[in-house]
Amino acid sequence: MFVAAGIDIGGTFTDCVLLDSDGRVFAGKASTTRGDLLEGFFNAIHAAALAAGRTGADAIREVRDLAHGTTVATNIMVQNAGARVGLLTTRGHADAVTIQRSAGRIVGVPTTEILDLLAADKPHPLVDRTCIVEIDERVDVDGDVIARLDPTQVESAIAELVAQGVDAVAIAYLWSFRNARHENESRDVIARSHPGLFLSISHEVSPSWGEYERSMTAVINSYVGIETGDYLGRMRDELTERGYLGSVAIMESTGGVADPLSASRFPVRLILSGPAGALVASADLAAELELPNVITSDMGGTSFDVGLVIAGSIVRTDRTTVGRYEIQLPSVDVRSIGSGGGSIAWVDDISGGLRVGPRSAAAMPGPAAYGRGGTEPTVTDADLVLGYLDPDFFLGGALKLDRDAAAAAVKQLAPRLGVDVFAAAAGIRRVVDSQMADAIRLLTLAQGHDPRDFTIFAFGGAGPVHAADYARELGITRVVVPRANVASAWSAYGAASADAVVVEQHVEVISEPFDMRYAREVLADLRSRCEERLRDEGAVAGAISLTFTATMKYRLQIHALDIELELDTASDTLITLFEHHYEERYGQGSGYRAAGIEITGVACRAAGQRSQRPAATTAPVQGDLAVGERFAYWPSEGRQLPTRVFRGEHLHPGWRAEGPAVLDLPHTTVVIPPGDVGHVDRFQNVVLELA
Amino acid sequence: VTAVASSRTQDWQRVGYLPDEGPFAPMPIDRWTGDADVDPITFEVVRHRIFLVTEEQGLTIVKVSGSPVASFAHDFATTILTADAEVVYFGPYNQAQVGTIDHNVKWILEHRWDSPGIHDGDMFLANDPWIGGRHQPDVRLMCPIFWEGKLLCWVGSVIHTYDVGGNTPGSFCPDAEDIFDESLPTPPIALVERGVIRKDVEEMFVRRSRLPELVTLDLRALVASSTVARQRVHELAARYGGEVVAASMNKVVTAADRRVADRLETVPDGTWSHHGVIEISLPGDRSTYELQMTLRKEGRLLIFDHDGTHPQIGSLNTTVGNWRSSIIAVANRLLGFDLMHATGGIVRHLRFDSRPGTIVSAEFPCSVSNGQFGGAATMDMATICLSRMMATSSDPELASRAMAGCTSSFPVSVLSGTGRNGERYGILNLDAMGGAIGAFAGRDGADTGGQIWDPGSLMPNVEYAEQYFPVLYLYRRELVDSGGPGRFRGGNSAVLALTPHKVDRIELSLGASGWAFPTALGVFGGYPGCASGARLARGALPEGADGLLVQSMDDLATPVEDLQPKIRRTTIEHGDVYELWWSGAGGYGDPFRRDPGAVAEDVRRGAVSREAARRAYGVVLDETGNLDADATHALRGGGVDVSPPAGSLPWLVDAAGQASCRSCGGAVGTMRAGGCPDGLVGLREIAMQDLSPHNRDPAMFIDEPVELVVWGCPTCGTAHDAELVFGEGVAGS
Repeated sequence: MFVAAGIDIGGTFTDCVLLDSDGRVFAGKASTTRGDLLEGFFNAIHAAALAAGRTGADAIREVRDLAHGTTVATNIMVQNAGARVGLLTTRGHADAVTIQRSAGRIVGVPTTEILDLLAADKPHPLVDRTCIVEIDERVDVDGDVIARLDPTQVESAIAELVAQGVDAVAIAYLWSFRNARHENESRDVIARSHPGLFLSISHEVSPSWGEYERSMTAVINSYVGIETGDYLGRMRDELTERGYLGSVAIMESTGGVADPLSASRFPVRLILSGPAGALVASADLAAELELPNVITSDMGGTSFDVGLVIAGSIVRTDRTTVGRYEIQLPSVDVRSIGSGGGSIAWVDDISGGLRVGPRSAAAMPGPAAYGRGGTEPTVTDADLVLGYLDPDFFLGGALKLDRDAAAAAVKQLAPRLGVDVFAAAAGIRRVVDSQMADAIRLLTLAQGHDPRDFTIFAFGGAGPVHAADYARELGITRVVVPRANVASAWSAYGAASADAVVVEQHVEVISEPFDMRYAREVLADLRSRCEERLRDEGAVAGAISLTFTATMKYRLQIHALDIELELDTASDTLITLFEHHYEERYGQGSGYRAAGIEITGVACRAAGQRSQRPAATTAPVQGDLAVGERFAYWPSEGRQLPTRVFRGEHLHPGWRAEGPAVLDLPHTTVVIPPGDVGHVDRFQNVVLELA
Repeated sequence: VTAVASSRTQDWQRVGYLPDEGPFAPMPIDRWTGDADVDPITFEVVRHRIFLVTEEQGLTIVKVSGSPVASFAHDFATTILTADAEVVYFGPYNQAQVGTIDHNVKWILEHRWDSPGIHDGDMFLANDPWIGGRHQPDVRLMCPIFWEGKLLCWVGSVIHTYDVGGNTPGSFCPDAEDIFDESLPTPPIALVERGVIRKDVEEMFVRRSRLPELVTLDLRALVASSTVARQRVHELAARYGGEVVAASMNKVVTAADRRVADRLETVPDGTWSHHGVIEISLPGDRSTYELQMTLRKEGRLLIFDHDGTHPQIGSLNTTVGNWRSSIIAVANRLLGFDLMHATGGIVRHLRFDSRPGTIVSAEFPCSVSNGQFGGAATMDMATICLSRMMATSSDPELASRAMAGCTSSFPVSVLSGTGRNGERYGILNLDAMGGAIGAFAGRDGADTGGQIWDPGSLMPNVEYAEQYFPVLYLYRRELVDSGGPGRFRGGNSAVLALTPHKVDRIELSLGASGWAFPTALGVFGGYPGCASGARLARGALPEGADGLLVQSMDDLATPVEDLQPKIRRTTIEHGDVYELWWSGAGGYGDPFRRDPGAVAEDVRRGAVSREAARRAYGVVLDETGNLDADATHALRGGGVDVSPPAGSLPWLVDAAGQASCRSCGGAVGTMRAGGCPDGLVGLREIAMQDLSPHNRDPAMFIDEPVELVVWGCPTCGTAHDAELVFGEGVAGS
């Protein structure tokens, strides 16, 4: 009997994980269907049910709890296909979203390209300048109303915008997070006169300090709102039509789920739902394995995403980049570089150096091995040439790879590198692995940590193929491919296991000595708002856990840190905690105490389990997993070696293999180089111990 | 690469340090030569790691310093250099610093090798503008990295610190008579000796500051960034050997050198020059001063000189090191746009022929703390000279990167006083980080695309400024008609207006340039972006809400005063409105040849006004904003409405040096030195106030009259050049 489902729609694949009442986990994969995402959604459910020898219809009938992460909002952004948005701003400040704090040209652009002024331009505006209307109103830094809003002005502004064809509106006034009165009055006017219009109110979408990012968050929320809402509505309808009786929850960037109604109001919170699912799953697993520090690494076809779990907590951020825009929302902190299986290798004609990326063959034409017309050598071609991938078992055999085409592509580089085709392929791997290691190093150092204190979790289609090498490059000795067969559906697994989470924030800059009685009042208010929301969404079974944080910084310096506190924490204690964390993160002596310390905001995060369910178990299946041997080239040996090949559909705890070996899982391959050892632990994780 | 006669080691104490370009090894220090062959794969792995060292240095600076100047305004720089003092990679931060560290390393090699010596674990501190510096607040740290007892490479970093003394808080001293009114310049001294910070040196250095604790933090940040870089290089050397690391660094430099050589092969030899002018040397002065830049291309060398530049004067001056660094910053982005900041190879093709005792090559002990004026003007002129040269390239890729000038001189507008809660504050308006980018040969520039010399810098939010300072922003918006008209339009800049809020007054000081006339220049007939400026309306705001919704200085009942660009101190009282705007970017090509549809779209979006569409572009729109084709045709002279064919140059030159107009084929004369044909005719003269509504009457600031003269084809009237002309002969003079 299936009890829970997690479904994650990514750019290429839609993944589903099903949990049954015995705690068993089944994963399935289907192609993402760009025309109608729901097609892939149901195909993936069916594929996962098939893994248990059952059907999608069974799953839909039985599951009581379905959680969903989706790329729908991101796709709308990438395709510039959002709503025609109208924006109301404070008089004199219409241009905040077009000026973009002058960062629009370089946000999201790799460092190597920012000097090329011709190549990097500002993005096409999401709101046409003629659809931004300034309203006569002003609130100041203290929340005092300086100029009163006239509702009739809002009424005529909105009528004009609607006449221009606007179908979604954002309202973003200065200091609205200090005094929301004018934004609320404007909302009420619009709701009365145009009840059908999609509305985003900046202090609701992003209660944060800084008008550009807050306005942009509201604008993007409206830009993706209508289509996301449509999609979620259709999903519910279709599920109901197919007989689904359980609850539905939507994965959000913050690492928790929300009910579909709330997700439809705040679709911008879905932007990082995929990576958030993966991080939630990773943090849970890290806790089970008693690993305090984990680097999560997801290598797919076009990108390499890195996240961190430090001292058991997911590293989060309030600032996220969406395309060339910056938004302000609590979310998991995931950084991406353009290294993936499709990254193209080339020789720089001047230095003679071998380079990989930033161009990618992506899914079309894809690597030469895909046989879709690609002729340039990619990372996947190199992996195939080296013998790590089985041309007949790629994606479980769903895509036949053409080894000759891959070899021909890689061979083009060989003479220019002065080596044979194997050494050229090994070179491509080495370059890309070293790039990924460098990206991880920079990210962990930015958090004030040494990568050697971490374990690497590797997932995504290409992660386990490369992890041993990028981990070694960082001086890391242990790699975990989580839950083996589930590794390639890791985000879906995370969605299925994520808590319901709500976050309420209050933004106000206060200086020391802190008035903790006031802070307590504010926090208590946030707490009741959180509890109310969780109750309204009705999705929580059991206790709610609360976390309070204060965002703190030294005056005259810029770094702000979120410090956890309790309702009864004293001002002195809070300051000590902040100074301690500041030094830990930024180095000894890095704080400038004389300038004073300030709190720039407080937040309450409430999380509760959605339903009680059995702990995940796995049915050990005995038997020899070896399916044969093939020749693979190992650069450490400088030659091809006979290499044992294992099939991992039926992995069981206690399995162990010494490198060189490869372990084919349904959707990825674990490469175990000579000298390293792979084994399966009691949680069904494939663990690599590096020499 | 062989040295040319124009580069020489000078008498650095007086005229400034100017060593030969290229690899430099004046004394016997045992070093890794990097002659080994590195295989292409190892090279890429090592190269990538070396590239990231500069980013890791930057990350460390932001972490440890935590200063908004370093973090928001990004006013710091990092770099890694070969043992022979050539830049391998320059970090993606303040690009104007690109030619400062290499000079310091060369100087240390030359002057410190015997006493106190150069050892493993040493780090040298400096802020002497006469040794590769922009001005005294830029504090630098240079660190030699040894491996197995031999010198392997250098790393260096710079931070603009809050205050290093001098007669004005912030250490920009607008009325300094000479260096003795300013912060003390310090040539490289060992702050760290064999791994240990010398407390005596640290205390001696920070003692000069009004905010010694913050300077200490900045010094710690510099030390930490060098420590991290040193550790990373040591890890590389331990793994691959010193020789491979040194050889990889050499290869990065050599590859960039070859790329630039190839690019220069596509450009015919020639001379391009620009005559500029800079205004007002001290508060109260009304004079203008000549600036000149000449670029000679000979084979693979680009030789810059500033012959004809005015002798040093007042507080306008800068040192030869800053002049050189400013030119390299421009060459880096125009010729090395894809080289990932591998500056050393680019610099090998540059030569600097200086004339000591002038505004851009000032001699000790004159005032240089406002070196940003001369630096900005140098970047403006270098952009024009290099772009005119690149437009002649037979490589379309290079020619397409020819561009007009970007937002010029950053206005130093400092607000200070007592805040709402009685605290003292002082802040530089960082709003002008929202600069504009100039037009290209085939594309418009970027509106508020950022300050070009610091691509990662950010404009603070209005809510940030209002939180920390007692001000209320009445508006901050993109500035209509600020971008220079052209076939491709220069980017628009922005404007702000603020008033004291919940306090009685704010103190204001200003140090700016480029107010009397525009300095962000157009090319090939494109017009300059608007000039910068500031205005003050005293007692303008009525009490109450209405006043706080004021949207234009022109709506105010009280008179509006145009402020001078250099003011030691004035006050903005409660009820006054202070408005500040900064220069737009220049246009490319004849604005009368701009696609009328693009002009109509600019008007629709509010980037260009209807008046400017008609006046500058000859485009007439009907009441609904649609193009009136007949009226436009008539206004454009009824001649060529068609756009000239794509291409970066407005003329074609035959083998005999005869030029013909690209639009109509008519003869435009013989190419002359300076880069223009001699048969262009004057098409029109435009007064500054008619160029842009944001330009003031130059007579408010300077005595000399100035106008824009537009030159073009005698046959079809297409504009090919537009230049500012000063003095006698200007209409109205």
